[in-house]
Amino acid sequence: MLQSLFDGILVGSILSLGAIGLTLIMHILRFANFSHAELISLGAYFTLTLDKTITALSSVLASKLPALSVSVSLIIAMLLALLITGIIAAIIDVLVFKRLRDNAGPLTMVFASFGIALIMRNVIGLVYGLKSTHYNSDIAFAMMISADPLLLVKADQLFILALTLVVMVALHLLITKTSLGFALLAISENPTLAQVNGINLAAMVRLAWLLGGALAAIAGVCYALNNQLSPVMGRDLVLSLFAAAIVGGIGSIYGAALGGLIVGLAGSLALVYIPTGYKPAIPFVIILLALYIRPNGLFGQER
Amino acid sequence: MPIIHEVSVTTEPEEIVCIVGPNGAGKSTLLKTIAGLLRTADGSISLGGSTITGIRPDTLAQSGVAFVPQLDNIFRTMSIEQNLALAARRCHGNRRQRTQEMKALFPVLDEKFKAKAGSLSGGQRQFLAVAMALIAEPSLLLLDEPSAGLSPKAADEVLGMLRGIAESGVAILMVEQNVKAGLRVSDRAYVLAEGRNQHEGDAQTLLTDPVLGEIYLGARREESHAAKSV
Repeated sequence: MLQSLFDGILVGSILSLGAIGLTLIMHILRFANFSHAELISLGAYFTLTLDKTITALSSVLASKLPALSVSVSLIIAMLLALLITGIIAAIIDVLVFKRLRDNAGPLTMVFASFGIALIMRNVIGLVYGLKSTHYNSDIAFAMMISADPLLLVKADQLFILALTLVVMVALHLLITKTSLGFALLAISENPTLAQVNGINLAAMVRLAWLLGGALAAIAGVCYALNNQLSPVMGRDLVLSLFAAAIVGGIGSIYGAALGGLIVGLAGSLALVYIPTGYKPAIPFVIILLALYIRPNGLFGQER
Repeated sequence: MPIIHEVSVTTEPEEIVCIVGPNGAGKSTLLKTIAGLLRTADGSISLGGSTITGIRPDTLAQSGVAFVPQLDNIFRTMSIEQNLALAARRCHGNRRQRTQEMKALFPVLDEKFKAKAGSLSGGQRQFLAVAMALIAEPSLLLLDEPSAGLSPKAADEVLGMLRGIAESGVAILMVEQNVKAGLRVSDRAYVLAEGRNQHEGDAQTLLTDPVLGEIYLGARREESHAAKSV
């Protein structure tokens, strides 16, 4: 049980990062972006390429951090990848979604997002191959924190938890302490009112894509560190991300963070009682329950 | 097909102008268009002699146009303090001083300064919405049905303070579903129906003239009776 709890929090924290961008865009632009999860894959693979490039350029940076399979070059690669992924997310908006926003309806945007997801997934498969891979081929051994109840933890997993915590705190500070974050919060709550209060919607939409893409990239690196890199990793996570956004309440950044943890924990704890084969159904069940019990989510507003 | 056409509306500083008309006449659309939230297919909008047609709503908000939407006109999850701070971003002058002035103008906002805006009553929410609009000292205040959903007492309070706001030099253009109450506090009025001007004139004349009232507002009264009987 303790092990499931830990695993749930770990997966949940990764989902939280991915769900924040999804919920922001879904609320501000009023469409479900099914391609958001592919930004997770994109960020993870960009990090892989950049890590290899940096390692080739400087072997000093390839040295591992104590007890971790994470190297300095991987951290630098991740920082660059989150910037690139954020920019790509904003470019996709300009090239595709903005045109559809101006000339078509939300449903067209949803279908377009399916198309973009397919393109991104297959381009990744084309470039990197369909086989899964790892940042590091070394075997990471888990430490036994407790024998009864059993709790095995890898150092990389602690790194992931610390990283997501740092990102969440940074995000919280951005929202509560900066003028830009305050404006983003206002736009995500009420785009019309925010505009008539002097906030530039187009600029905030760009910021939401940048932020959403960057957070998705971090989620991708964390997921790849905990599991593996695969072109279908985004597809595998998409339902869980939607479940997290819906449970938290569409538009709520804090809701998405909490929703991610709930979905992660539910998925992990449910496996204590039900066979593993039912795991893919868990996000569906959570979405159904959320829509039935609390359609606006934990922090969502009534529509 | 355009929702509003052949509409011409003007308002001067220190003047309250009320737009009345049946549902679907395009009253709210007109206000949203002036506020920059909707695009015009044709025609022009000007403020103090400068054309503002096609300017973004956030730019207009910083140039003296304040719009109070009918619904969702406050950030419910934020505190009153945060709502005012957000609105004060448009201020060209001293933000802190303007916030203090708004608190003095609406004492209830001062009392509940740290409370979530969503916890306010209907009338208090409207006060906050108007305070957010006024904090940046606008030259034009657009109000979309300010008394909608309020108790008669709260509606009287909200409409009653408009004269004082106008006298500070603000031009007020308001859409009001409570025709009598809206006309009572207004200087001039426009009757809008089917997307065009049907009548323009002195608000008190429209209010008291039985013939004009019957022609332009009678249909609306019958409509509301019919709606009630359903």
